[in-house]
Amino acid sequence: MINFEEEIKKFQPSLDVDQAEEAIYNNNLTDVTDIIGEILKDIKK
Amino acid sequence: MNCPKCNANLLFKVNKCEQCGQDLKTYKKIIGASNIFYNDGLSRAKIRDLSGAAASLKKSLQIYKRNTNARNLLGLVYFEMGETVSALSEWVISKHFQPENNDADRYMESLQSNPTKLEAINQTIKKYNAALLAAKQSNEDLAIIQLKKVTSLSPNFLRAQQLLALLYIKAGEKDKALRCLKKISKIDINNITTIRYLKEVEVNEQPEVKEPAERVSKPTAIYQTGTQYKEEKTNIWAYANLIIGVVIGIVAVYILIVPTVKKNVEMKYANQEDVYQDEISAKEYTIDTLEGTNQELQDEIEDITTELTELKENMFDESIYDNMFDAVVLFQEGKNVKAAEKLLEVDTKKLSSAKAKKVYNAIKEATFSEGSKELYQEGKSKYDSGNYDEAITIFEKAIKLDEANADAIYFLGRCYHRKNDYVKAREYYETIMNQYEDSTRYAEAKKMLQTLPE
Repeated sequence: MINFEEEIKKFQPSLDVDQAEEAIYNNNLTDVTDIIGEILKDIKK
Repeated sequence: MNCPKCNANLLFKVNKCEQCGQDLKTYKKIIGASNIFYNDGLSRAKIRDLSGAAASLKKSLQIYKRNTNARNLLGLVYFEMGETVSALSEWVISKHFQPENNDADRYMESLQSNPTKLEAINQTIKKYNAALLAAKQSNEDLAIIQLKKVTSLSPNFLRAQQLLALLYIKAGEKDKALRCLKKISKIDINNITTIRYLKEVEVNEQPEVKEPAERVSKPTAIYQTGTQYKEEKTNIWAYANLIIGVVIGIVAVYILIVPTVKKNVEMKYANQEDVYQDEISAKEYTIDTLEGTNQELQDEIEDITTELTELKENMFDESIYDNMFDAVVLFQEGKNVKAAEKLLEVDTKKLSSAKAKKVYNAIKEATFSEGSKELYQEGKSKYDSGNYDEAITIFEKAIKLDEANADAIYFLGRCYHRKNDYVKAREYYETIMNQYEDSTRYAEAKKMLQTLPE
């Protein structure tokens, strides 16, 4: 049985076109290559 | 493939960067892992498992953020799910990592080249957000209305369709919810939320479906055998309702619209009549004025004519005296007949001078009687020679000079008698008979009168 109150909380407002730039800047672009690079840097230190 | 250290463009098969000497074995393994998820995402996208594709592509990008193909495909998947802003974001990032030879250019251009469409998408998103807010504030009816608009404008907007389905489920309208969910299950076949909601709707419908005894007894069971063809009966009530609806519509038109239209037409004609009445009154007034003016002008003309006549009468006429002087000259020359003829042209009424009148009378006495006789002789010779028309003219002149010239009167009658104008001939014969009984022509006139036909 679906709990409406719980379900409705899962819905988030959609970003409009004006907020696209903000969404791009907030995007977490760290990938595995970055992590490995950081690890290698730490090892070298 | 690009070197993670110096970003040099390299072939995938090399294990070491030719520029900076970076070992690429691990790096290649990472890219290979990213591509595995990309391939998985692509396979899912091809069968419209958009949620699954998005999840795989996100993993692919978490492993290797520069995987342009994965990012572009993720953008396409978002776009197909109605998440336009997320799609644009992915394409912009893709463009950042690969500025040239990137399919993201084409995708973004197709959106940005049509500002109207972009604005419509933006409005749809704003309406969705408003509907979500209304739903969270327990204004479900308002939220449903807004979401209906959103889903009609953007049928692929999965989140909006899901929210609408959720609201329908809460309102107990399972059929409508089912319709929404089936629609989006065709767009994204493996969406967890959609499947959960579908289960919720179908579970509640099951008791109604699982009634084998009733189902067998229903006429729809005939179709399940598939052995007999039975033509569906025409629903007469539908046609009857349609006809009744049309009749009610026509009656409503006659009751509601026709009187209003009639009234409007009558008012229009009444207004026109007023306008025409005003015009007629104005024209009548103009006619009266013109008639008055015309009468005044006629009176003026009459006055002027009278004045003119008086002026003409009072005016000194030189021609009167010219004729007088001519007559005097002719008389002095001994031309009595011509002097008498000239004198006839003088209007005696206009002879204001007493001396002139005296001269006139003197010449008249001396010339008229003699002139008349001379003219008679001349006319007689014309009569004898058969020139009756010329004779008539001369005899008339002779009579003008002397009204008592019985010879001239008699032969004037004779001329007309010769010309078979018996009426005029009788007139002159009778003049002799009545006025000149003592004349020598009396007996002849009497005799001639007897010869005239009745």
